[in-house]
Amino acid sequence: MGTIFSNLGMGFSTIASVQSVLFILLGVVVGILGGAIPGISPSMAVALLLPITYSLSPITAMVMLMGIYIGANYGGSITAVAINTPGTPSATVTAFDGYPMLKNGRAGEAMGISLWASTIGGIIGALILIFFSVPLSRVALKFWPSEYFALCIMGLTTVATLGGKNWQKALVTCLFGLLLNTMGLDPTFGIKRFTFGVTKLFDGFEMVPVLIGLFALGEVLNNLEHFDPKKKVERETVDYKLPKIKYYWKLKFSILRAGLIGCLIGIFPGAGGTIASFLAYDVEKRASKHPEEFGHGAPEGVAAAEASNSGSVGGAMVPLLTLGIPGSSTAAVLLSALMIHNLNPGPKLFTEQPALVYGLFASMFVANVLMVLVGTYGAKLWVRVGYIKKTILYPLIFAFAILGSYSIKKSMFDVGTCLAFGLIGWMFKKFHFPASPLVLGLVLGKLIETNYVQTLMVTGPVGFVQRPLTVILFVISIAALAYPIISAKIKAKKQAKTE
Amino acid sequence: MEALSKFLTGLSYWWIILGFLAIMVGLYFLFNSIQRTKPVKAQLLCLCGMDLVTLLFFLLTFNLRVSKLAAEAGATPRTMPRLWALLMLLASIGAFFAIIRKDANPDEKFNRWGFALLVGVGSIFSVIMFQYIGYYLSSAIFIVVVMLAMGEKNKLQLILVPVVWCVFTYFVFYKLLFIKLPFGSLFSWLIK
Repeated sequence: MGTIFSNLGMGFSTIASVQSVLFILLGVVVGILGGAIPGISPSMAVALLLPITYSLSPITAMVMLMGIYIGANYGGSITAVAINTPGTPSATVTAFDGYPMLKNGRAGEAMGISLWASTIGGIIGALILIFFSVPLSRVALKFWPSEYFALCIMGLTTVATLGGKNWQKALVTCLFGLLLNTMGLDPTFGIKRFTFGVTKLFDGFEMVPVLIGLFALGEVLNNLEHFDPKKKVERETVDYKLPKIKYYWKLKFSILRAGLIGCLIGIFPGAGGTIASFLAYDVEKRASKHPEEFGHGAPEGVAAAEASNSGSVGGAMVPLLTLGIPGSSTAAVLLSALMIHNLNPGPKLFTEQPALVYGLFASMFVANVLMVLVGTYGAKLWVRVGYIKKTILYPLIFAFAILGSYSIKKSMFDVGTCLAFGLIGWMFKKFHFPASPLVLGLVLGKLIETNYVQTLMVTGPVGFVQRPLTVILFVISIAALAYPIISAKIKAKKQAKTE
Repeated sequence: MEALSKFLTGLSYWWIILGFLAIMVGLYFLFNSIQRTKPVKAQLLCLCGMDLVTLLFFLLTFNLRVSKLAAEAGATPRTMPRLWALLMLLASIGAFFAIIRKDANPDEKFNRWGFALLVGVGSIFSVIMFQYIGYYLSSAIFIVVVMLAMGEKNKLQLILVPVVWCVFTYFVFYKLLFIKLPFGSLFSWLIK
């Protein structure tokens, strides 16, 4: 323990220069801006600034890129709250309650919670990374495909709570998402499926246009349907004051739980912040005394989503630094950045380059603190979006959505995807089909299929019941799926009896 | 089944979309004619739309190539789509009965859906125009037209909003992020 603290002290002294702090700040600002722009993912933001780091020292380069990664994870929540457009896939869950909070005139609260939950979640992730990186990476490596499969199935059980009263519809949309995910090349055998001769469909649907379409365009189309041009357009009053620090104290357990979940999920390669935020949101809803408020502006929902996706940053760094295995797409870009600077991640990195490793750890704390400063002033600007006239806001969201979808691959097909899913999102919203389970299906589909096939290839069907951990995860999944449905039915019966 | 799958695989997606729309229209009239389903016809159409896609995918799986390796492993490219399709069928039956239940919510009435749809169609038209008049002009026209359609009369805002948008996208996306937005064939000589 003492060694860790002394190494951490060395790490802080490594980055204790004006130049390092300025580069971390630059990274955080660029990351937040990149995350806030739909179409610029955290990995893209890191990749875009990678060439700038060629001339920098390895430590300065890495702390700046780390700042971008941390900033971008928070940045995605800004547009999720302000215009119901998740800037990054992991911010999708933030929009579930963040945007309703803005609509209820609690924009400042939503922005404040997302900022502080991101910061504390990020710090929790960093702490776990520092203290448990080596043993945790060993555990993660021992996971078999069957356990990954069971973990994904556990992720799918969040449908039961995401759907609420409409759980039957939620189940259908989730399965529809899983089915849509099978479009493109089969992940194991590389065989074309349901591409209808469209080469752009070989990779399936790009996630960001789907998200922008379902959430942003769906919402705008629904609002346009109810928009009356004859009615005088009045500016809505939005409370843009960020709450005082005391306010966040009541969310301490939500943030702590979600930060830990995010970090743990982030450790598993391929899982990432999106799954983490779905799972943390689900856990929070189950733990809440007022689960009915979720989806209508529950502060705990925003806190859980943000703390978990920021916590996943620390988690993703565990396999990257200890084993050289990237836990997320952004971690993969960071891996190439390390290699560009002649650094080979793995256990040796800790002994050969302790100053760099612990400098990187220290920079995670500094970046999170700087993020609070940048976010506090930035959020005040963003929440004013609520003041913009609808006649200006709606066309701009449309233009933003089209641009965001186009900029990922410079593909008109992605724009078409965004518009098509916008139509689906509108219909879903109108007829109470929850859209979030569809996203869940799209996110988890490939992982489920890959691990399912791998399990069958390695051990056959017996592989799903051979290992105790797999069975435990399955049992938890079944219980998690059945519990809210059964308890709701019992409640309804009791209510009917009393009436 | 394989013959039907081969036939469907050979069809252009335009025919598939047309067939899909024809079936949906048929279902609309069917649901509209039954007392129980009439108040929830739109919800049922949403559900059936997803089920039709599922059915199509299920049928198409019969024409998917299966390698020897995959067959030996017991998991072919057909496995997951079929599994999801089967579960979808079961879930849809549950959702169908939940929708037509007596105490279930009826469909929300359509308000100015034509207007919303027109904006959507306008955005598609704007995207098509990218290649001819370029992103900047096309998006500026789109913004102005939607603002006007929504009843905006402030001339200064009608001019400023699209101009600021174009300047923002040019500097942030084109200059800063190096994302080349289409200039359009009409103005392509400008950048040659």
